[in-house]
Amino acid sequence: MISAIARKELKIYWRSGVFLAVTAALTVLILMSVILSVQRVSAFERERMSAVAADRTVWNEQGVKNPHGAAHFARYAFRPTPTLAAFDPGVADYAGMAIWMEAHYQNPAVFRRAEEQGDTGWIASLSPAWILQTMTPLFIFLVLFGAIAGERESGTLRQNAALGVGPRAFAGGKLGGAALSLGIVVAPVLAGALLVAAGAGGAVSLEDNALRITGLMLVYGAFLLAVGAIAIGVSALCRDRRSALIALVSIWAVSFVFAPRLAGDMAASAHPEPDAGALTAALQTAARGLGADAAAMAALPADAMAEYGVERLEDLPINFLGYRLQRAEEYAYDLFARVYGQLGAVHDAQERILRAASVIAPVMAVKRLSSGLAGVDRRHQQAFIDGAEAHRRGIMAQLNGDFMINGADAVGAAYTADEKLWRQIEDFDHGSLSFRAVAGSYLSSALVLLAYLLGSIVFVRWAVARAQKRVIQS
Amino acid sequence: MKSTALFLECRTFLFAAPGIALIVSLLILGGYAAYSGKSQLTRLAQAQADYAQTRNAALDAWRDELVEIESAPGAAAPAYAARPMNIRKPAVAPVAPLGDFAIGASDLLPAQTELSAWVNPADLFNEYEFANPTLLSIGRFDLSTMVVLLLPLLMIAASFDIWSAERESTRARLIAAQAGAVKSLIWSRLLFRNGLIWGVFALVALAAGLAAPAGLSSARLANLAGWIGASWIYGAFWFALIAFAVAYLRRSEIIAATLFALWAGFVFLTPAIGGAVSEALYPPPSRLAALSAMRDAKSEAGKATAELTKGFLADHPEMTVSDDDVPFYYAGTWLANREAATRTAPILRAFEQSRQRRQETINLLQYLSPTVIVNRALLSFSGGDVDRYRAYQAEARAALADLSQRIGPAVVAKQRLSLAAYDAIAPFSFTETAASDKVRRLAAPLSFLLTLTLALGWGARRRLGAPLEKMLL
Repeated sequence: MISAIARKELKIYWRSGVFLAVTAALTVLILMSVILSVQRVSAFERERMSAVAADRTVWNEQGVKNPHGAAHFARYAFRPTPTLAAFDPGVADYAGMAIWMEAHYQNPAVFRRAEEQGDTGWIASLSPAWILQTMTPLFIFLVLFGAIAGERESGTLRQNAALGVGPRAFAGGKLGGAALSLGIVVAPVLAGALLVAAGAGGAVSLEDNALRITGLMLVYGAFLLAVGAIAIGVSALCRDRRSALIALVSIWAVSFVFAPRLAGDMAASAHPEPDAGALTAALQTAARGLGADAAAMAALPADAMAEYGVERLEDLPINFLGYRLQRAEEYAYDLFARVYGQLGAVHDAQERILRAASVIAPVMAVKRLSSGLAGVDRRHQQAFIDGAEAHRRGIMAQLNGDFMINGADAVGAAYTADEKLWRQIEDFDHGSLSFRAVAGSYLSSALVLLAYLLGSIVFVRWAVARAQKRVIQS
Repeated sequence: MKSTALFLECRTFLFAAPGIALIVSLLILGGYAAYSGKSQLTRLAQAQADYAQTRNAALDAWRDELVEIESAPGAAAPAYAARPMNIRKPAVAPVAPLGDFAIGASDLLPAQTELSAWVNPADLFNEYEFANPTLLSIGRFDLSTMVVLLLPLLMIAASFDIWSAERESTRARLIAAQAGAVKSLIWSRLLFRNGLIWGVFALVALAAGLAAPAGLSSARLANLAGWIGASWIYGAFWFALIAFAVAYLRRSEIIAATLFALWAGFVFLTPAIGGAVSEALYPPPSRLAALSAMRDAKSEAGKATAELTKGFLADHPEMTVSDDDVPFYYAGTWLANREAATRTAPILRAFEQSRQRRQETINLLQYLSPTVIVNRALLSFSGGDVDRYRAYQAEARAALADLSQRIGPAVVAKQRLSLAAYDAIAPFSFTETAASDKVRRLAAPLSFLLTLTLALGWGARRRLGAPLEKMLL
């Protein structure tokens, strides 16, 4: 029975002008967004590779100078464009894409592409993921609002019920028909979009990419199926097509448009962003860490002498200034970690509110899963920041080490190094964060989506049973 | 007839569940948006005040050192005291007069920095990108968002079946038989329901506008008038569009689906597609490439400081270099920054030109979406527009160039500024665009929207005035 109803639904949808118009619009929109996004992300990746090469050239050709001077000139870490950013840009445009790996200082990531978006950027930004998360549910609602309400209006709901078609078969057939009709269009477009998008960004492991693409297919499949079930369920609860349409558009506006914004606003109000000026001041204090700690500074010569087993400072086999610079770097590690840790705690608290809000607006769980799977959420941005900081520490240790050892005979900062040393400093290579390594952090959102899917299926069955009961009783 | 229609509207809409729900949700959401905007503005104003106070205190200490040195000309002064390179002036764009009405670009673009000759203009704005990118990508909820996104939806929901429901239930014939004409009934209902929405919202907006966090200024009142005017033009457009749909389309669900689809098209699709197309046509110059070019310029300038010093002294033969114990890198940095500023100026210009070309594309595309027109107007009046922040950046860069020029000769000559020369450097003050200038700039698109509104209203009026049988079929 389910397959018979589904086949009938399929036929009706493919004969419906509204359905054809909506699916055509959806396909054109997704294809258009894929083309523009792939073009955009490919350009970003070319820019990054060119910037890495230019940074290497400028670094190598900085001339003869003290290694500490070079450490202040420093190098840049550029964030690779994740392969699936063309599908879902996530937070990529709102997070800095370059970090200056300077001596004494852990700089924040800078250059956010969103700053170039202009006044309309906040309203919407075209990407395949945005279309699937925001516009596709509206399209599904516009196609399915009459699914049961229309049958009730035309009297066929009573006929079906009288024929003994149970709620399970009726709901299953309706949902199956809708899923098949939309799936025939959306699934190939989605798969194609993902595959094309996967080729746009930087190189990643094939296995990881396959895992991420499979995850995205599952997430969007489950999400859109749940949206379809909600649409049919609401249609079954409403007396007529008009009420069903109004109810569904209201659900869409509240749950897909306003709830995320309100949740974001509440998160920012409950846990305000620390002031940038105060944060900069805290970072500057951290950078002066050792210099401001008189006791630690006073203990440094004794530490150095103990470490190298000498009695007098002038007997040290190293350049003491280089030693002090490296100790200053190490001293500041914890101080920077504290400042950024406090900032991260505020952001974590804000995102906890967003996760809680995803219970009433499940699209937020989808957003989180999608950007996580695409490798463009804050978790992945943090991995880039952590990688850059580890690389900065490595560069500083290498430069200070050279100053200490090869500058042992020089007085103070008189020692100089040249291109030979600069060439030994490696480029920053972030690589890619394996999804398996971070999958656990998305469990809560996956559970919300699963509950949404199961809940919507239970809801549609209940709503259809109720509609059948009422139509028979009336 | 009109009083009967209004009485009926009160019974069936205002004092019924939909009307009460509408008013309550408008009050709650409007109140929250106003509160949220105000609290954000208060936090920002406090942070800026703290920032300026800290910097000004340091500047006063620097000036005191200079006063002390000038008052004892013969005495030996500490080498680093009151050096012109160490002047650090705060440059803050204060919160806009109506800043609590739209967050806009305020959480994305910098509004404070420090003018110091240690940095060159290209690096003037740094270390401000700390905000949570997840929240930034979601967007915020404020009074302007309510106007742009929510109010049209509420208008559609309240009005789409104003006549079609009567027609579908066959009450239309009864009404026509009793009243003779349906035109005034439909207009009365449309005006009543939409007037209620806009009346309640206008009260919320007025209350929020008059309860100013930092006092009620004439600038705030002028911008508030502009903001309310622009939002009412938008409301009038949707009113006319709904009336047009009600007049020409028959079935309720077709009217609703058409209006909702138009809403989605105007509000989401046109801005999204327009933004993507303008970016594809005029991509912003690569900031990473610009960064590399700037580093190269700075590196080359840094390597050539000896030549630059010679050149500068040759250009200023009146200068004598003192034998003060100031590190050479003071003068070296100033010269390198000056050279880097010259070399990086074309990069900044390229960014500006690309921005202008994208802006020109958006200026044309805005005529495809009333939402884009009104969004820009609301942001402009509330001071959350990108243009305001770009203007601030340009003014701050100009102030830095002025500071650098004033102190340059003294820095290279290892001398100090005189107190009079220091006092002649004016504190930074951002020039707000007057509301009248904003009106002038927005006049063309808003007039277009008004014309479109009148055309739709005329079309609806013409149809509603058609013979009765047409309205009943």
